[in-house]
Order: sequence, then C-alpha cells, then structure tokens
Amino acid sequence: MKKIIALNVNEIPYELAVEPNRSLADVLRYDLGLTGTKKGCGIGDCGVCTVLMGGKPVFSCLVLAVEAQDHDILTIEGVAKGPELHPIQKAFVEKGAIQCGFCTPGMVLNALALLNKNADPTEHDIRLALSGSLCRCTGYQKIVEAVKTAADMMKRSGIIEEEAE
Amino acid sequence: MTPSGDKKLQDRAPYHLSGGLHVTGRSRFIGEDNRPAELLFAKVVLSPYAHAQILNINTTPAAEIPGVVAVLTHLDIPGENQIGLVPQDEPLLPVDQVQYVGQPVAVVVATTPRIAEQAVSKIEVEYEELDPVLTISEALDKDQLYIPERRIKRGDVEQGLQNSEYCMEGKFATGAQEHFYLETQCCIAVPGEDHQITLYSATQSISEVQIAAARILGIQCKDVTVDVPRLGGAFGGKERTATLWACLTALACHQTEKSVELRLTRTEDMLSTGKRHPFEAVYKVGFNQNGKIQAYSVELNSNGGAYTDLSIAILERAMLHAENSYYIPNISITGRACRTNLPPNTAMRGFGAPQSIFVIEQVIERIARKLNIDPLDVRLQNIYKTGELTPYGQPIEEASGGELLERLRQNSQYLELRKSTDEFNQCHQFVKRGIGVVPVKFGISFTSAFLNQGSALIWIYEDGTISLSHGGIEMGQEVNTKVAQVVSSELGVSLARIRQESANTKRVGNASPTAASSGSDINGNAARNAALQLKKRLAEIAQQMLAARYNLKVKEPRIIFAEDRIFDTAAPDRKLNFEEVVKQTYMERVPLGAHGFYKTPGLHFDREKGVGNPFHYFVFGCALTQVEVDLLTGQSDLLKVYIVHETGRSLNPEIDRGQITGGFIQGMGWVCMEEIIADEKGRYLATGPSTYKIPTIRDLPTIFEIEMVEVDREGSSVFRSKAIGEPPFMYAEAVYFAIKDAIEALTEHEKEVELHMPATPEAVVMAAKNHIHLDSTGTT
Repeated sequence: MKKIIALNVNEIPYELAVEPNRSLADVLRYDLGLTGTKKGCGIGDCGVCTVLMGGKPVFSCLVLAVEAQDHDILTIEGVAKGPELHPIQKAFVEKGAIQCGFCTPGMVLNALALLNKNADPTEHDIRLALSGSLCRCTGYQKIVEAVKTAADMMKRSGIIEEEAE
Repeated sequence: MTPSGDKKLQDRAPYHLSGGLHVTGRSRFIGEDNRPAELLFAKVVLSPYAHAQILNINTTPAAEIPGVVAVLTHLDIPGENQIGLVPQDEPLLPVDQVQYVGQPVAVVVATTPRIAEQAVSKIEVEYEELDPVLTISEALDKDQLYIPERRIKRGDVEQGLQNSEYCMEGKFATGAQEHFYLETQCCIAVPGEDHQITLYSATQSISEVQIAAARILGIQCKDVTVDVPRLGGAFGGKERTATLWACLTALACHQTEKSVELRLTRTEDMLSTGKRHPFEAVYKVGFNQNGKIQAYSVELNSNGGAYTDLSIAILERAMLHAENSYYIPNISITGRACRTNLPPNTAMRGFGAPQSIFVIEQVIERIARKLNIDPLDVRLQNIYKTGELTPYGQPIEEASGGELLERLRQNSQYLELRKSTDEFNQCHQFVKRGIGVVPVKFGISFTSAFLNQGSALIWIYEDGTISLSHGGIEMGQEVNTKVAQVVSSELGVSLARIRQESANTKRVGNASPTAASSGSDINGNAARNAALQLKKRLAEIAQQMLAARYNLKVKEPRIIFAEDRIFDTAAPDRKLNFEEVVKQTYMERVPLGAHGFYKTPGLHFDREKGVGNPFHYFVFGCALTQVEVDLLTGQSDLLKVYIVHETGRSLNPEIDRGQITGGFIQGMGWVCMEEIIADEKGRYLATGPSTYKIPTIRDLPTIFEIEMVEVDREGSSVFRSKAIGEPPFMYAEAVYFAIKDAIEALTEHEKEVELHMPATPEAVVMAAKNHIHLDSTGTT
C-alpha cells in the first residue's frame, strides 16, 4: 500500500506516492532522479548516501522516505545556488579532493553541515565531522585541505555568518 | 639528478576533468544515465557452500511468483558456459559443482528488485556438501596448483649461504584485502536489433567483457558493445571480476529480450568476489657482518581461490619483485599458485608485488636486529646501483633508490626522530613509539607483453571541437584528465575544446585492461600518436593558408600549435585560428579523424627460464613512518609519514600526489586494519563496512609529508612521465614495521616479537603480551 507524502527537496516541494518501506535514498535516486545521492552499503556505514535533513547529515539509506516528510532535505544537487559552485564545492575541485567521485557528494554535504555550525573548525573538528564518510581513493588528506580552504573562503565571503544567523 | 626545467605542461595542469560534475552530483555512473524504461532486475542465487555437488535445482516455485520474468541456470546459456581467460576454467554458472561460497548458481529476472529478491529465496537447490580446501598448506598437500611451480634463479644460493657469516630462516604470511570500491559490481544490459547487445558494465576491461559475453551468448564480438562512462573505484577488483556479473546480466537480457540491471549489494559483493591474494612465504637468507645479503631463497605460495582468474600473472609479478630494491648476488625465487575453495582471488593494486616485497623487508628488519645495525643502513648496504642486474637479468638503469633513501633520512630528520622515539619509550611503560622505513622499486608494464598496447581515436569536428576516445577506463585515477592534457598540449588547444568520451568497444577495439599502472602511459601515448597525425595534416593546410593570406613563404616551415592558434615561427605574429584551419582542412577533403596506436617497446620475458626484460622502466621511492602504540589495548596511531617519490616529469603533480596519498592509506588499511577471515566452511565473515574496517579520515597521520622528486629519465613514458597508480601502495608496509619496532621497544629491541599481519589491535596485544609482566598492582 503506497502512502502519499510531501517532500521538500532542495527547496522544491514534491508530492509522491511511496511504499512505506522505501528508503529516502531510493526515492531520491529513482523517483526524483537525484542520482547525486549514491548507495554504497545500505546499512549506514559508508556515508555515500548522506543528505542533510533539517540541516543535519543523515544516511538516507537508513531513513524511510515517509520519515522525511515535513523535513527540509538538501541533496548535493541543491548545494550550489545557481551556476556558481558553493565554496566547499569549489575547494574540493581546486584542492584535488576528488578521485572517483563516488564519495564526493556525501563528503561535501558533511562538510557543509560542519561549516554551517562551526565557521572555524580545527583539523580535529573536520576529521570528526567527516568520519562517517568513507573514501577508498584519496587517502583523505586533500579532503581535509579542501574543507579548511572552504572555511577560509566562506569566512572571507561572509557566507557562514549569514547562514548561521 | 637534475630537476627538469620545462614546466610548461604542468603549469597548465588542470583540475579533475569531471570535478565540477562530481561536486554537484551531476556526474553519471553506470545506471544513472539514460536508464531504460521497462528495466528488469536480476538477482543471483549464491552458493552457501565452498564445495558441493549440485543435485537438483528447482526453479518452479520462484518462476510462479507474479512479476518473475525468467529464472536462469546453466541450461539457459546459449553459447559456451565459459568466462575464463587463460586457462579457460571458469563457468558462468556451474553445471555440477559449486567451488566457493557466493558462487552464482542461478539468476532471477523480475520486474522489481523486491520481487527478484523474494524469488531468489524460493529457489530450491539441493547440494551434497564436499570437503573444501581453504588454506595454502592444504592445497600444497593435495598438490592443487594452477601451474607447475615457477622459478627465477641466479647464482648459487646453497654456496652463498655457506659462504655467509650469518644465516637465518623464517616464514611470513600476508593477508587478503577487499577492494572496497564504493560502487559495487553492476551492469545494465540493453538489447538491440539483430541479436546485438549493449553492456554498461562496471569493468576495467571492456574487451574482455565483450569477448566473454559473445562466447556466453553464442554471438560474436561485433554484436556486443561494452560502454563504461566511469567507475566508482576499482583498484583491480573490476579487472576480471566484473566479467562474471556482466555476463550474467547479458544472459538475462538475451533471454528476456529486455533491458536488465544487476547490481550487487555490499554483502553479496564482499561475500562472493575475490580479494588480494593471501601469500605464505618461506625463506632462507645469508648475510655478512656489515648487513650485506649474500644469498636469499624464497618460496612464494599464493591462495588463488577457486578459479585461475589472474593468479598466474599475480604470482609472476610477486616473483619479479621478490628482491624489491636490493641487489642479491645469489637468489632463488620459487612461486606456486594454489587452487582452493575461496572466491577466485584477483588483481588488486600492486598485483602480487606488495606480498613479496613484504617478505624481503621483513628479512631486512631481522638482519638489522640480529646485527644491531640501523635498518635504514642495512637497506642502503643492499640497495641497487645503476647497471646491476635483477634476478631475471634486466639491468636497473637510473637506480635512484639509495639517493632517495638519503633524502628521506634528511626530510624526516631521522637521527633526531630515532633519538626522540627512544627517549619517549624510556619514559613510557605501555605506550611505545616505533619507526619503520621501506624503499620500493616497482616495474612498469604488463608482464604479459602483448597487453602493452593501446589505441585512441580522435575526431576534430568542423567547428574545431574534439572528440577523444581511448581504451583507458576512468576510475578516479584521472587517466581521462591526463590523456586530454596530452592531446591539448600537442594540438595547442584548450581543454574546453575536448570532449572525453566514454570507453566503448565500438570506438576503441581490443583495449587492454586499465591496470598495471599503465593507463596513462599506454593511452596517453596512443592519443599523442593520433594527435601528431592530425597535427601534420593541419600544419600542411596552415602553411598553405599562411602563404595565401600573408604571402608568407618559408623554405623550412616550422608550424607551431599554441593557445588555440597556429603560426610559423618565421612570422609568429601572423596567426591563424585553430577553427579556421580545421574548416579549411575539411574543405580540402583532408581527413580530420585519426586512430592512434602505441606499443611499449623492448619488452620480452621467457617465463620458463625466468629471464628477460619484462619492464619498460622502474618507479623508485621510499617511505618512513612513526607510530604510537598502546600495548595494552593494541591501538596504534600513525603520527608521522614521510614519502620521497620519484615521478619522472609528472604530467599533473596534484593528480600524482593524490595517487601517492590514496595508495599509502589503502596500503595502511591492508597492513594494520583490514582483515578477511573465512570460517571453517570457507565463508567470509567480513561482509560489510561494519565487519571490515578500511581507513577513515580519522586515521590520517598528524604529519604527512610527500616529496615528489621530479627528474628527467630515459626510462619513462609519455612526455617523460612515469606511472603512479600502484607503487605508493607498498610504502605503507613501513607502518607495519613501525608497529613492530614499537612493540620491540618493550625489550629494548633485544627480542624479536612475532607480529601477525595485518597488525590489528588484537595482533598487537598478542605480540606484546609475552613481554608485558603485570603484577597484582598493575606494574611490571
């Protein structure tokens, strides 16, 4: 029996009929075509399906689509407002923090959640915030550098203050 | 060593060609692009036994479920039930016996993944369990070898041992490693007219999938198209392994005449796919008071799993790296690949070399302890010098291992580090620090010489934009970025003009697997060859245009392509636009497409004699690590890592740096975190990230310094660059030796500890416990 739910994804409202046992990850990928959200383990251990729900990172493979009702969902597709990349995205590209790209959406969203609440994270803060996202390619060093760079860029452009308020 | 002067190519080294797509979620992996309507879903019945006779398969209850479109067994294979390469020993679906836990036995095709899953549980397979062979020693006892033992020999080991001042013998075993690519094995098959089929397969080897699928379906290569946009990681795990899943999807598509997707869950993937080969080694070594090795004999035995897969080639590379960076006058290397009832073990970054290098490094460490000489000095004592021959007779040209070790010593301030480590250990009872050093020499080329060839196809369109295809698979190593850089550099055009196409058997036929660190070398050279052909044609037209437009007549024209312009050096201010020359070339009916080809020169290897030049060149480097180990909990923390790596003239230093970091961290997982245990029935107990721990961002060292030494080398590849993918993996063995060094600090380095590899916290506690004596008050 499908259930009609209202989802707010990347500031766009959707009304969908979903089976109550379907994960948010599957609905994002296969019903809404938002394939930037990846699936890697299905048990909330690898982090490639991370999206922000009410500003907090969640494993969308462990969240039922029906549970996401009434929450604002942000996926990787909604991070850049317009054609300009968000500073975190820009930093990931420029610092070479991407190899195969499969973990990248989850990493960027975890970094965004961190920087939205902590404008000036220490390396320890960064490692802690991103520790739920596995990457098998990069060895993480450039990811740490990218998040540090993004924090600097955001401070300079005043993005963090705006969003924190 | 003289650093190279020309930084032109690097100055324009671009970011990841798909970086902007990846960070916005717009990059497309398999199954995310042009998803066919009315897609069916395949799910596979996996063997629960490591070895069993199949008595009966009852598919009826599954077939009756509404939504099930087909249930397929070996009886439904229209062609030959064979996906093996050399030798052909692997069925797509077994006829009478299963050979490993997780082996596909039947395939369900249904309208939804859920129905397919339900139907799989309804398939009744009757088995008669047989005794499995799981370990190397059992396989050796039963003489289950894939090929007769191989040997590489030089000098007289027996004589060498007798003449040595010291002799030692020992054993060393290295464990399996799961690739843990984040994108699991997957394929989408789409039917076409006249029995054609297109496979979007997560494979590193488009041609191999094409050949195997044609054989399975009883059609021909011309009927099968394999297309790969990019992979979500591979590391060797999609070189051979992908063929099985691609062929099962092809079979499902062929039989239902509908598009079919097969995508493994993480559990299915980890349970049923092969890993890095576990090796067990037995060695003898003879050496002198100064640490110089006189004689070394080593037997390398690998656990190949249930089918040959790449076990023979992997054994070969292990044997060809058994001496690592050291000249050993008398040496005997014996290799055996064992057949067992585990999933067929397969390629993984390093391809056998990490396993054999680990053994000789263990030997070096033991020599140092025995003689009470610093291990770094023992390494320098034995390191290759230019002109010395490898055990298989290939000369080491431009040997830089010694020089790099000296740089490492400086970069890490080795003496002070050793001193501060010792001081730390003197005032800490149960927390100890240790240091490990490992040099690496890694041979570049497929050891099967015929694979060292590559093709590329370039079309320049009328508007001056460029379509670039080559045989390399993009899987994060950024072969696409590097090859596009080569073309952009030759044609003097911006990268924005170039569309890097997917890897596709129709555009590039007979492609070698993207493996052996050779992707950029082979495909970069092939693309360069195509670009040079086009450049020659464009230059002739440009010369005519310059003559007609500017009345420029030069006896020996030197046409330059740069910054999207074309001009003669005689009149550099009279420039033609790239587009207008392209347009004129088209109007003159001169072809604007070119196929480029490259084969690596000078390779030969006689496998029977164990002699030849299997490698085009070698990559050299070394690493030092410092760890801190809590000997009561076994927890180790990586404090410092210093790497010195010689790159040749890097095409893209930041990409290379990323490969060094990524390879090191992946190697660190192998040596001290990742453990694959099979139970007594041959079932892997690690089936997901909850039971298998790969490094996370919290495992990064506090200090991670990489020096890339850039030097022009004769032994190098396209634009004098060197391969980068695999060599850095082995640097991580220094982490294991650092942990061992830390534990041995318990006895002031007087006693050697037995440390299991991987050096997990459990292994550390086991190694340390005999040297820790707690009394009732908790003190020693």
